[in-house]
Amino acid sequence: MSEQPFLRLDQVHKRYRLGETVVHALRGVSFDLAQGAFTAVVGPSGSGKSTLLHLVGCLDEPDEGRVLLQGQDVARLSDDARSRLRNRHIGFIFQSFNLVPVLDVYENVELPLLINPDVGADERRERVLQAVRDVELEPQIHQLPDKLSGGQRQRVAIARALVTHPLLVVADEPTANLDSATTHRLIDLLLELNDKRRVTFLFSTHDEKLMGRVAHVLHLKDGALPS
Amino acid sequence: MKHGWRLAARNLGRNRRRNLATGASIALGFCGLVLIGGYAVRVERFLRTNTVYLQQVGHLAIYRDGGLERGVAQPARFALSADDQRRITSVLGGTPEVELVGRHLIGMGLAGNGCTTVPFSALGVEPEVQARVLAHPEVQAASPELARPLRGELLARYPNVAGAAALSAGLAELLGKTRIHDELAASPPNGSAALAPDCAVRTGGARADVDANVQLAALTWAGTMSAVDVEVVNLFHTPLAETEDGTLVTSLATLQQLYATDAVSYLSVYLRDARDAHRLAAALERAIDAAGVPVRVYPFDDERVGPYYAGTMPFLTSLVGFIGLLVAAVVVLSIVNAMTLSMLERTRELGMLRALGFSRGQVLGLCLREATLLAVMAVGVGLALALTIATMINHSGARFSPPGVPGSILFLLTPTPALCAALATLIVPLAAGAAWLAVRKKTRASVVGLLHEQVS
Repeated sequence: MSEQPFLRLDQVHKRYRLGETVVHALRGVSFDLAQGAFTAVVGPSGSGKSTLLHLVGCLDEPDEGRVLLQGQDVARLSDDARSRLRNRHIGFIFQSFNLVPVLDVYENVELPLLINPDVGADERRERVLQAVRDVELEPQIHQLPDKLSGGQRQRVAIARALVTHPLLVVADEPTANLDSATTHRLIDLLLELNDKRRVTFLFSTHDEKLMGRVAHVLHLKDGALPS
Repeated sequence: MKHGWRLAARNLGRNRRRNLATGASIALGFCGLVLIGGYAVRVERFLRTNTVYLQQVGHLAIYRDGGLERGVAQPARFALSADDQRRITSVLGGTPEVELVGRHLIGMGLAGNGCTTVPFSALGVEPEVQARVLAHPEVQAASPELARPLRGELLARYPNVAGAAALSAGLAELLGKTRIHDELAASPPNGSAALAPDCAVRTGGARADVDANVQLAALTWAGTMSAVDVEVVNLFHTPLAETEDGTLVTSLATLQQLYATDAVSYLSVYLRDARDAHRLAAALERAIDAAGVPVRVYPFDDERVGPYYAGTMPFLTSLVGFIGLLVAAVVVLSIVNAMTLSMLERTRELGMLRALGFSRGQVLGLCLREATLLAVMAVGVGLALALTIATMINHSGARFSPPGVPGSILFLLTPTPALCAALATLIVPLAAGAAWLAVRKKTRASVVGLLHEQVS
């Protein structure tokens, strides 16, 4: 009996309608990821990287095929159940950080825990402080995002993604808006967290330097993974 | 999610100018509603007090069945006899909601000053009951001017003056009775002028003011001629302009003597709470019928006993309701506009919240909290503004003449706590509902759609 992979995509298709045109974004994509994998999705613009990450992150549903997270077909879940799954088990890092501008660093990191009734106030505080320490932003903990540099903002987003102790972190071009030095520090941080916590990372990138530091790379082309 | 309120409060600080404008429109709208509502409450109280206490209809008027329609034409048949009155009083005595009961006799006849006669319509009252009714706190709050005689004192202050009577100002003028009992006692006319009025002087009955005596003549209920002398002890404005030229109020005993009867036309029942009127009307009618007196019990807002109240209130209600709708529409549009713009600006943020695991309901809840918080703050400001304006107006001494009422009354606004609370509980959910209209489509959109929507 074969062991169930942490994440499995099985013949996944996704189409979008743009006006009169139907865009076939993913064409029968299949792959498995083991728990703790650190995987990059690469490919030219329009190859379907973001679409793939949306499906893996349970933000969207495939038109055909299945996305199985720990053996569970996420398309069969209700919208609320998918929201709970994202909140408890999946972290997101966005290219444009997507921080709430009126909340300080602490409050932005705390945000996903506020809707998890299983985490009490004391534990929530502990987790937030730990996450902020992990990304080395303690001195800036009460600053608003507009007072932070791009790299600091992305570290806030990483802390926010990790504060829920997720099984999977999905990152869409996380270094696209960062300079080279900041990118390297950020990748070091992600690798360290991956190593320490066995969190599965799946992220898209165009960055050649970044690709060089990743053991497992998925090459997407025209919505497919060439064999 | 208690933290949702904190986030909502922070979000309100985002676009301060827009939120300030929206809050201001809600605050001004609420202020307007409170002021116009306060005006409506004032007018309703005035009309109710006018009908119930000043016209002495009572909260309930008890007539023998048919008495209201035919009592004037056939008083002997449709009046309430002394025995009827005892039975009715017995039933009312066992009704704890009843505060006071008055007995009244209505009649008509001719009033003369020795030279001219003019028709009158008389109301016989029990002077002590009348004094209590006119001193009632509701009267003192709503119509103190009309409760006080223009000159002289209430009938109850003249127990030793035989046939003490009050004339409406218009009737007194027609009869030339411009000086009342107290004034003549303090400054009696000199010489022969005091003996009899000079009928040769025709202009306005100028010389009829040598005494305060008026002769009332009428047919008794048995059909014989009858007359009594009354002494004018006060002059007053009637609650209605149309009755100003022919109204006379005297004691029940005096009027019963004129009509040679011990019956009364109706009983006025004053309740501790006006809201009980309709419920008690039916119950009392059944109870009094069961006691052997066939009666009809009319609540004060029945157009047959309180036509002015019944005719004015629907107009006032529809006018205030229409203005209220306009204000509510402005509030709704302001909120919809502000929330729509806010959602457009924050589309990606909504997508981010959904990606972090916020359900559609939770995101909607956040937006509704923002609108609710804004509305609550605006209502607080609007309330303070309205109370300030109302206080200033109430202390300005401004007066106005309600249509159909002789004289003027104080222009007062009465924004009661109940009114303010009712309006607040209307406005706040309205604001939340308007926000729901503006954001529900956004919260239904797909997470990916929200994250990637281009905001221009």
